[in-house]
Amino acid sequence: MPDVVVAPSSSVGVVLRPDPPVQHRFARTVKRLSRNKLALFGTIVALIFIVLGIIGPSLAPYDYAKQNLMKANLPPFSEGHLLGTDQVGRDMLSRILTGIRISLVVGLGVTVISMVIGTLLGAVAGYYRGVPDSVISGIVELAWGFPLVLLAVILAGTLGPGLLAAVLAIGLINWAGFGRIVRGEILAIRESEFVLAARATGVPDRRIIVRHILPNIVAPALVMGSYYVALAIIAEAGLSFIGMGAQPPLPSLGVMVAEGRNYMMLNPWVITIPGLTILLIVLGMNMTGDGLRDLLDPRSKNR
Amino acid sequence: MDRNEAIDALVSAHRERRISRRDLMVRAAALGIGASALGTALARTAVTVSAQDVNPTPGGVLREGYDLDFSKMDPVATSWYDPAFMALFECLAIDAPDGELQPMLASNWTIADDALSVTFTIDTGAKFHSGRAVDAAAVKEVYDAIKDPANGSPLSVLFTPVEAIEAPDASTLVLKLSHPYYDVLNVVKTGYWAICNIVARTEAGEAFGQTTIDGTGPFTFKEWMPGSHVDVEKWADYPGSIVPYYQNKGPAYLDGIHWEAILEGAQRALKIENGEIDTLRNPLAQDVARLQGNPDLSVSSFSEPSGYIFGQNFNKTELDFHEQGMRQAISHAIDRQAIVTALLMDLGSPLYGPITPADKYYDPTVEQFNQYDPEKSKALVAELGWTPGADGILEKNGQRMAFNLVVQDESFNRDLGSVIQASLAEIGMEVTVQSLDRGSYFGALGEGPDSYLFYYLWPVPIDVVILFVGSGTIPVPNWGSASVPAVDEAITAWQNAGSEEELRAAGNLFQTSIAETLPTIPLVVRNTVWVARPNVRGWLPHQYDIYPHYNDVWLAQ
Amino acid sequence: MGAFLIRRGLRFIVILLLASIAVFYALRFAPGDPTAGVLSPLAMEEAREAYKERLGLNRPVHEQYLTYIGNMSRGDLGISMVTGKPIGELLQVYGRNSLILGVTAFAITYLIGIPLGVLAAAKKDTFLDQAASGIGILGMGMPNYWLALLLILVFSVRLHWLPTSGCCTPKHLILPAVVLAAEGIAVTLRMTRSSMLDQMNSDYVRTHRAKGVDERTIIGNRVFRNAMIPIISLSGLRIGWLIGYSLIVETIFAWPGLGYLLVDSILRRDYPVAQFFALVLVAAVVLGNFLADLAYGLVDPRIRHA
Repeated sequence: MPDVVVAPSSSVGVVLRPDPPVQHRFARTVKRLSRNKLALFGTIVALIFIVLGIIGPSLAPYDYAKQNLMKANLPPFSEGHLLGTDQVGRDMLSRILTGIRISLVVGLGVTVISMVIGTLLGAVAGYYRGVPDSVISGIVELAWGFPLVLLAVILAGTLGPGLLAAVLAIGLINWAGFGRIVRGEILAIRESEFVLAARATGVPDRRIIVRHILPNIVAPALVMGSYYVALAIIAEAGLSFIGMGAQPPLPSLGVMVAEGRNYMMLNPWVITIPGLTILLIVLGMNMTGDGLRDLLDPRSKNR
Repeated sequence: MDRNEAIDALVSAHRERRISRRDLMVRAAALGIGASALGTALARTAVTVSAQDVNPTPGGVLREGYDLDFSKMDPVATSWYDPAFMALFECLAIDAPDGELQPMLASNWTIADDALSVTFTIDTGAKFHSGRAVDAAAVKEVYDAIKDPANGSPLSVLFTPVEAIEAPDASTLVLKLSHPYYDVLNVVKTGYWAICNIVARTEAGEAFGQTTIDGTGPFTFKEWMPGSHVDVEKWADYPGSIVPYYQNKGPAYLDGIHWEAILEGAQRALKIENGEIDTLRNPLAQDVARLQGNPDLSVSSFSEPSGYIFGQNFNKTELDFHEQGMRQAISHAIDRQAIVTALLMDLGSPLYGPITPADKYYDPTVEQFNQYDPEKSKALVAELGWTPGADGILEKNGQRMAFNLVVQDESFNRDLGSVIQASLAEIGMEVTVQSLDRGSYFGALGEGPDSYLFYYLWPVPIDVVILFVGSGTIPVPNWGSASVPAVDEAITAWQNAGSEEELRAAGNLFQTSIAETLPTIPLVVRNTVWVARPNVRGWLPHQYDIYPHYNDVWLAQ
Repeated sequence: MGAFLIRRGLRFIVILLLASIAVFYALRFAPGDPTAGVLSPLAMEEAREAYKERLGLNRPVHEQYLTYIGNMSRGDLGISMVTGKPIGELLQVYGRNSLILGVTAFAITYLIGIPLGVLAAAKKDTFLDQAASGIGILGMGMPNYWLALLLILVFSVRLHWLPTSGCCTPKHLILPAVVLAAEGIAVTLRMTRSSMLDQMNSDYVRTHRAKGVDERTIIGNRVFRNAMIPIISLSGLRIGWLIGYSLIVETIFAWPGLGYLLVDSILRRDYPVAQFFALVLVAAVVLGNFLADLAYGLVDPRIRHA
């Protein structure tokens, strides 16, 4: 299940950091990226999966829901089924290709929800401090501690079980991690000289937030986002473990692993293939995140 | 497995000392294999009965793997009964491995000539763990508690024809019936009618069955850890049992039994292969072939008195679910044999009628209905005026043939749901599968879902199927509000049967009427699979009871 | 400091109260019936009503809540509806199992994650750095039920070194602890690496270097010690995570811990148990945060407990 505690740059509480944005970012970005082979590799892997997520389903040789019970549990390289079939005789390749899209959409959905709520609340808490900070930090802790399964049960009951309920449940819990990071970043930025200067000259708060602060948290948010996509995919796999992920016949990668685990001894491929796919996506996303952080994090410019 | 293979499997199990000679005989009898056929098979090879088989060694703790989590161990009010019931409690009667009803806490019973009362003799000398004697009054207390609707006995409705329970003297218990009800004998042998000490139950309140248990079985309660295990220990003062098929009439051989809930499917087979448990219920079907190939294990597989049923909500008239033709169309679209082969690895059977072909009341006439025939399905829906729309989904008067299917979350349920979904897609129906956790699932059933998948398990399948299909049990548990006059008539006949013959005739009527009119659509039945390690003796699961009993079980060195 | 502690203490109580309200209402809002875990779904409506009457479950929710809070404040935690076990006893048994599993998983995570992180920082931008990160992410990216089954196949089925599942000997502990630990390695490694690098670039290290102090001594003493502070704070945060998200590991390995207990009680609608352990989860998160803040405050004087 999700490691909601991933906190790539500042991680916990408050970290003070020097500012500000730098120039000529693009040229340096490319240079740095090519220097870090692992990040480059990760980015390529992630891009491949994103492309597969977009065009994959149209490459699928079969309908992902099409069953043939007489051809269940075929191993890879069986006739007509490059990656074999699952327990009800559905083509694994077609399901993986569709599953990649579904899992990426889940990852993206959770990340967007987390980012929106987390950034908004985190920004308010970090900028205004005092009472709003206290209240929002309390909400963050409450959300963080709230049992995901309970929220998932309620949402499944209200919206019907399925991906929407799962994405909302994970997003509504996991924004807390985002909020915490953003708050920390903003606490630091608001003490920076250019913000202090802007305030001294009487620039209104809203303008300071929009013009000076938000642009500065884009970088850390992007880094967090790349990790969050990976985390959400794993989290959905976790909910699938108790049947609260994608509903039949939709093949998210998580559901495929969860369902495949019962067939592990008979036909190990039904779990290995989606398992490896998740692993590669998570690997790619994380390495991209690491690379992005090295690129965008001002602190690491001297590294 | 055909009969000869079954004989050979049994004989070889016996030869390898995995089952005792007595087990061999009893199991063979359960399979309907006569002594002569068995003799021939045995003669093919010299069989020596080891001294161990003759003299049970007392002691040791049996470790049994169980595929579910445990429920409250209060027979009167529980959500399900688990194997520990067989060690802690006893009923008035018991099913022997050959399907015959044998005495347990009642030494004898008679049905009055007018079939309006049944008299049980309670004189076996049984006692509760607390020391209280089991007399007619103690049994009456239990049955009265079952009849009290506030107590929550799950199937108390099966006792509706029992008007009064009387205990004129210490050893005589009379059930007064409002109409002939031969089936009552099938009722009192089940786990929900197990005898517990109602005085202790009243004293303990909610804690009874949770932390305090007072039954008459050969073991006493030690510990229940939800999601993990139940432990019982030998009751040294067990007064003994009169059950004819038990070899051991005295206290249990085992020092105790430890049931482990192994909820992760693949782990069950691994655990017994690894020697961490001695016996196991229900490895995953896909692991059974592997276990059968393991010379250290003996595997038996019986048709279970259970079934998967697919119910449609009769109130969904816009979908024509109240029309027999629509339900038949759905039924013909489902290839049951393929489900059994692919999902159950052939460890099960198609259900064309409501109950398993292995049941003693089974009527094979049902097999002329509900065969896989998608063309017939298409014809049937066309007859009702449904035509494929632009997206291939059937339509009628602007109504799309799209509905929800509620299933309880579990891997087989989900797979079965998705097979139904795919099968019905072939004839132009759009099914949304909703796999729900247990709490939400029963909540959804109570609200009358479009359609639902339900798995029942009960020693006398007809008794419980009645509840899902009879108009008298709307809305719970007839969640689909099914109402078919022919079926209701058959139910009345079954419940009013005064003899075994009448019961059988009513049972046949019931099955054929359901197979034809489909108040709920029967799908498949799966086998219960039991696995044992070679040192376990006298452990005898059989198809007429849902769990083994533990009086005879002992562990060889 | 005293005022600070009092304020944090009050805040803690307020958050717990709010959490108790949220969980209490959420459970009752969830579909299904509180009798689902106790009575058969086939039981009569009368029985359901009688049961709810006995347990006061059909009174207005706010009344139920007040009774509940009243009982809690008197130290009466209630008993499980499903098993009848007092919640204190459940906390003791399942809490102990969770603690053993969690502490072992922590230890494994750190024994692998921290050295790899130090190595990655020391050999920054080399193959070793990247390989270490790769290993870390491997543990995080493998769906844990897959990893669990693979480990069982190797160590239980093939090698017969360890039992497949169960509780509670040291041998039973190893596999679940490793699987639970695997997810945290990537994070620990990343944190260690980045905070080591921060320290190594700091002024005092430059000064030491300028003075010609041996690089190994610098890393071993000052850098490592300072770099560990965020890791220690991270531990505080992971406590909540271990309770909330250990369900899968606990189920596969049949290790009865709080993760299983919490989820199972939610699914069975065992209100008293679910309520209490959800609160334990929130309390763990709040306390973890508090400890993290304290740790930061103690180390970094620039941060004021404003």
